[in-house]
Amino acid sequence: MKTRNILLIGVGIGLGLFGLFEFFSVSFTEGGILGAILIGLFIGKTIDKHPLRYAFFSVCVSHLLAFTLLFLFTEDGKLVLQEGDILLPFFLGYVLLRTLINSIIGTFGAFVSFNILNKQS
Amino acid sequence: MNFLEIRTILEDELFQSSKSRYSWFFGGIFIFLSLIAIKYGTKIYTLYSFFFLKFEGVPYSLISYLLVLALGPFFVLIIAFDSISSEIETGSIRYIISKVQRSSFILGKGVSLFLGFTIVLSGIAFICLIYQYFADNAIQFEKIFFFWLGSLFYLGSFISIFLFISTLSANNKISFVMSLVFLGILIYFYLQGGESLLKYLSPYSYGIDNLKILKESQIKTEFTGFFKNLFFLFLYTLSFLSLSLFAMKRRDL
Repeated sequence: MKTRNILLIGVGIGLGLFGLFEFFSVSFTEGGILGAILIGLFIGKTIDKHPLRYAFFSVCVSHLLAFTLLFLFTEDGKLVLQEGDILLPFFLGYVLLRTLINSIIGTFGAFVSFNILNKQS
Repeated sequence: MNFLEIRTILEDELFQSSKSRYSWFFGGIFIFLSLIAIKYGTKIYTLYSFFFLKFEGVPYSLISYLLVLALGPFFVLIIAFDSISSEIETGSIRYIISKVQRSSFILGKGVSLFLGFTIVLSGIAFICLIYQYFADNAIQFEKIFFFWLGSLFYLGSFISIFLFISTLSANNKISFVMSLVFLGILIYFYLQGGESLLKYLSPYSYGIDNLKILKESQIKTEFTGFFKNLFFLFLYTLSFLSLSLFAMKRRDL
């Protein structure tokens, strides 16, 4: 399978898990970390070259997409957008920080699975 | 697994290898830092006396334990991050595993690190005892023993973590970066705190929880929590050592 397809699958898995955790009211922190680890494990096992950077990219894209959708299509997100001044920079900072931390966790997951489960390692 | 092979690797790691010299050097620095912390313990005690209210006399064991909690993982990182990755990077691991089993190699490395830190912690505990004796405090063997045991299990879990990362890494650079990243992740997990289940995934949580037994007076001491924490730290160590063995068996060297 091409790397590009696996990246898309990784982003898809991330979005799916995000939706699932939102549905079951799992907290953003725990759900995000679990999702990042699962994406990292999947990418590390599947991709043969540079799995770490692809895992980082994949988790990053899926988180940013999920948070954007959350902002646009939920009542809480609309409230934040309407309030503007103080809340928006605060939430943007929160989203970017969480995305960065989860991407690093996903990268570590990919590192572990690449070296243990991937035959090419 | 062969005990004779493990012993050979252990002796080589502790006394003969080129790395052993700088491991002992960092161990010495750790003891020295602890000595300084204990020496200025009285000053810390006066400044933060609200923290040590329940303690009778200067709490040398508690001060040493705080030092182990804060700096111990970093010392373990410095000493353990290249224990296996350097052998993989130079290719010397091929000569070793042609003569000894892979599991003996990993266990030998792990036990040597564990033994090294046992000696360092024993040194710190001995210094605590000497200070207690000369400061006319009542010598509290129990507190010193709890400090020694708690620190040993706490650092043991970090030894197994860094050994696992070192097993996965192709060279020292990757191993060092990944060890730092994982240490950061563990600190992040602990900082979630409160109701979050994430903090229980971090050995910091159990290590900091063990502070209670060193803070409490002898009458109120609760042993159950302490041994529960030790058990979880032991599980942590065991699971990461098993993962290291699994990774080593699967790796194409």
